[in-house]
Amino acid sequence: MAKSTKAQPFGILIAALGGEGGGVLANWIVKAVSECGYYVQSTSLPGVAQRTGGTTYFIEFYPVPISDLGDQRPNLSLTPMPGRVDVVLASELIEAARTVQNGFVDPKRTTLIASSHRVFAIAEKAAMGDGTFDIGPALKACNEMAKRAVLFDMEEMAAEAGTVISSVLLGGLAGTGVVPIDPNKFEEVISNSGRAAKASLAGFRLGYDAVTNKSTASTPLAAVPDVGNVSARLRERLEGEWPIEAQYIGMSALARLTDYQNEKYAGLFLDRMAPIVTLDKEKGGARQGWNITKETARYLALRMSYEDIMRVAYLKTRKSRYDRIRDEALAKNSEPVQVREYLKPGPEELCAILPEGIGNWLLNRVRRNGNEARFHVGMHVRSDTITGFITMRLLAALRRLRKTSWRFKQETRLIESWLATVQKAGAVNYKFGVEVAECARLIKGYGNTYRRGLENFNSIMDEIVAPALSAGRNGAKAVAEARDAALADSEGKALAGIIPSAGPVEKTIGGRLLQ
Amino acid sequence: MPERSFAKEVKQLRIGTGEVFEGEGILAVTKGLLQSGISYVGGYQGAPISHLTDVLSDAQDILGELGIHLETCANEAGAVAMLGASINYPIRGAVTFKSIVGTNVASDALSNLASPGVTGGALIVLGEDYGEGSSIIQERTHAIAMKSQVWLLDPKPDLTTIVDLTEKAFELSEATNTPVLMELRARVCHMSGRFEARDNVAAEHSLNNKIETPHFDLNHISLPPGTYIQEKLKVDVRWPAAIKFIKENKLNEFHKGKIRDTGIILQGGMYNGVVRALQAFGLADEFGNSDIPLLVLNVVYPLVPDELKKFCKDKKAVLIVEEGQPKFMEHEIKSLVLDTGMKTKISGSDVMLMAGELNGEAMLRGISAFFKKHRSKDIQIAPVARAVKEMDNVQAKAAEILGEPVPLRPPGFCTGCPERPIFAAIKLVEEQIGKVHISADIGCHTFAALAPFNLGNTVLGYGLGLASSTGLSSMMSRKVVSMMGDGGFWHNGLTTGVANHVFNQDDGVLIVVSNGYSSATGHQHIPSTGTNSRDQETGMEIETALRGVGVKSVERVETYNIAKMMSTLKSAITTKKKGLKVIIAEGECRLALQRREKPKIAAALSDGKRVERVRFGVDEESCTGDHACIRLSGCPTLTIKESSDPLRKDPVTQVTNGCVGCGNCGEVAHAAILCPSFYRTTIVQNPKFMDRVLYSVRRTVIGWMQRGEMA
Repeated sequence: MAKSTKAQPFGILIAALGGEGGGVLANWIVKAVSECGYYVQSTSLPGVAQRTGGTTYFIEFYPVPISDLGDQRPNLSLTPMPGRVDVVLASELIEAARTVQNGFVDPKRTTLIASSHRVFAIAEKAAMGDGTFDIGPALKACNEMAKRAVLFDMEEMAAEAGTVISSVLLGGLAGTGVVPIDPNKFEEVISNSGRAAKASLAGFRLGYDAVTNKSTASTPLAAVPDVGNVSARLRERLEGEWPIEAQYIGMSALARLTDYQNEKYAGLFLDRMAPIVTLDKEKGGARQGWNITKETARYLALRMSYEDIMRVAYLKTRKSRYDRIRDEALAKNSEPVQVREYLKPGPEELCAILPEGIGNWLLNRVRRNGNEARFHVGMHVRSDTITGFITMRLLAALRRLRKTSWRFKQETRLIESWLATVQKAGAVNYKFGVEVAECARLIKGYGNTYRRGLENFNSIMDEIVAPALSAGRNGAKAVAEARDAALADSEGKALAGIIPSAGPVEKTIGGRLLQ
Repeated sequence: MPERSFAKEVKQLRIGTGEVFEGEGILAVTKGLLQSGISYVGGYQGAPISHLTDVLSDAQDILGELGIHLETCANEAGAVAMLGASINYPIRGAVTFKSIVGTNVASDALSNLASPGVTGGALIVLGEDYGEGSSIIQERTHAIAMKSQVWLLDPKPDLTTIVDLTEKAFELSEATNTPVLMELRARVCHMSGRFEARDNVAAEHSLNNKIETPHFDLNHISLPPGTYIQEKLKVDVRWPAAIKFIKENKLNEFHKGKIRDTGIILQGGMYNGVVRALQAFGLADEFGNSDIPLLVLNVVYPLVPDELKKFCKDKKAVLIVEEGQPKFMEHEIKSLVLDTGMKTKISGSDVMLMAGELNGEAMLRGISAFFKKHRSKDIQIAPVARAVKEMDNVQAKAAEILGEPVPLRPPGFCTGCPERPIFAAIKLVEEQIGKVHISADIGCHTFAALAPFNLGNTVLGYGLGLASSTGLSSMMSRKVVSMMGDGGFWHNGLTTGVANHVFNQDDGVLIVVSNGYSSATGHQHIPSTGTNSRDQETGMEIETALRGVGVKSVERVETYNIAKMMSTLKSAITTKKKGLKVIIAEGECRLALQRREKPKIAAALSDGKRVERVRFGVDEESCTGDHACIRLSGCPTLTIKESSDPLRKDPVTQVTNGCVGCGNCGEVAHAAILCPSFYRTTIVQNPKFMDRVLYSVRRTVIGWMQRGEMA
């Protein structure tokens, strides 16, 4: 006979990633609960996820001491059931969101304790542009769907305590007080858990305090660019000519280009931008957020500071980098740090130094039988040694040859035709102009990556932008679609779907792709 | 030594009658075996049952005391063949492996065991890898039990029931001269719980008391006329005996409920889920007392007609809760009810999930659909409907807020995995010579078929990578590249694949991924590990075995050497020379390596010895955010972050502190000429005097040359 249930079984769902100590966490909870005299059951699904990927653990216990149960035993479930989970512990934001998506986080019942940091999934990481999942909705879902949501950066705390995230999660659980277990009990269990006990305890306490003091770790902001090197003259010009909303990007650009070549070169940037800024003002950019100016400036600066071997050598020998590497490697002051660079310059890198004529001759020679790769020389430079440093700095010093080089001439041609197109498109329609400017996003990287990006850029300009312009039609939408397609896969399949001439044409048999 | 040690847990295997055992499902089964007086035990690792073999090898002294022989079998067929010991002799034995794949491999031996039948009890403990988190094709073991006519137990997920049934299984096996299968699903294998133990039992015949005289009985041989007699015995003698035993020993459970006209018949393994759903509907209490009568089948094959008739009689509708398909039980019960002329409606596949695990959600939806379809005046439908409606609302709202489904997190290679560079090399070679057909195999390396590599066109089963290429190899303009792990190589790949390839003088390339262990299942030892599970030297080598079966072209390549891997692979694929070219890709599983090295390094550090720590890094300033390096790696520690450059929109690549400095990312970026952003950092811990002098000199001089720059 179904009695009116006095106590419900208490369900705890743990969502973690392989190697984050989810199993240890489950065992701690089971031990604590069982030592408190409750009937408890746990299970897990390591499955294929034993190595990486998501794993789940599910714990249920009956919050009435076994001693009071007589010969009765509660029925404990092996799988979580939507609406009947009391606590969800998630070691990462998207894993937390996944439990919400599956309906395990119930507004009437579930307390969600999760780390707000991101561990990116392979699909997000491997994207050619920005493939990351928007954390806004993820956070919103966690906060709105949970009876109580406790989210903070546990990864930071785990690092601080020199432990893994599981102990911080347990601290968070203890802090919320939703389980009828004394926090001291958890501490006791952790203390008896062997070698890493000390670090685990530290992690536990950090998590516990974070919840009880409502203190949450803040995520670091993007560094503000150092513009100390920008000359007063250029600053004045920028402030005089540009709308205030666009000046942050403008200043960043000037700083970058001064650093890249010199003040004169940075001035060239302002000259090139002048007609764009004028156009933007004519087109009522104020209502459009000055996006033609902002986006064109952004990419113009990046393209004018293309990464040639001199630039790379310079970036790799800056003082700030040596300090960053030490911090990143968590090296103690007493510990020497050695840095080995993986450089492999080839003909095209050489052409970033050689004059145009010689460059063309050289490239024709090496590309004749399509084995340019053979002409790349591997250099494993030790930039922490004096000779290594000097080698790199000598390379960097070759920037004097930059402006007469084959590469510089090519970039100049590309930049100027692109700028002209942005103006034409902007004249037709504001958004069209912005989209064409944005297309410069495709041109990045080195070697094949750079060439592939350039080809995609060109085919969009020729096949979509040019026809639209000659017809005086707004091609904004088509350009945006083509650009997204170009960033969809590195084999150009998606783009080929829009622009047949671009990318490979796939043969199929019975609808199946032949590769 | 396997990944996980049970040295501590196995102590509990000694406890006796009255004491309470607390632990995992697989440990409970092991205890059940010891309480049943087995003489021998063996198995082949595979999730979710891998740890059972680990537990056994960790419990060798206990096995020794009881005179139990432990065998690490070559594969599942070998494991079942081992049970042949029980055909002629009154000795009990048990083996374990994963199902369905393992059972498929074993099915020839199983038929030849089932037909003559057994004298001593024979139990096969199966890890039923069906449903969420499974690593294999989705099929039920039930069909195998039916066609070989061996009994199938599906115990209620509760350690007491599991242990009792383990003991009963041997009695059933002996009472019916039939081997018995016991299926345990993944969640049950990993389930923690408690049960009251009994004393271990030493077998009459064991290592301590050997059998004197061999026994011969022509009717125990799988040859006519024996086979015809055996087939008759199955139906005339063994089947009725099984029905009788199951009834008399009440292996199946009748749960009475106050509602008369409706009932549920379920596999034992489904019990907790069914009751939880009934609780959600207010039809059961927290102790599992249900208003709906339940027939819990701890034995799902054979079914006991009398029990089923008794349960279905006078009921309007009965639901069959049976996981997966085909719905063998449902069909059998339907026809039984039909034959007896009962009016009872048998429901099952019409309301329950046909394919996939019956998890919490599936139970809620299925059982509520049953109650809605077959209304009972005694069941209030409102709370039933509400439970499902609330779930729907929550899921709908969540989906609405999230906008799009959150990204999937497929499994991949671990940080520092020595298999990663193999597939990076294949991708890079493909860029030079065009795509090749990859005939993949089972093992960690199968993950290469997933993002980011997507290398692997077919997977036909364990050790079958090379065999599955033979139909195609002669039809492909470019040579087919077959994969095989060292586990699969010894499981059957050496004969089924390599020997036969040489025998037929086929053409192709085989990459044997030699990481030293059966790694995906938890580092169980294999012949080429060098030692067996008892840590005895084996002196068996893959290359020797290959040459032994007549392979002419064998190359050993250290996987992290991307350049060498690429050139070897390229020449193997492009060479005009016919025949099998084998590349042994060598690199010890990083997890095993770490487990062995970490303590040593820690010790060296505390002794003040000089230790170099290596990690890789990416220069944010020169990274342009194309992530080609990630598409050639997928390393967990090679990830992305928001660029701190206000001009860059795309996230840049970074290496996190989990990096173990294997060098794959740097080498690949180098070999693929991707970009100059990668660098290798060596941190000298406990530096010697000269280290410090040299370093400070370098710092000073370089610092002087950098003067004037902002830090």
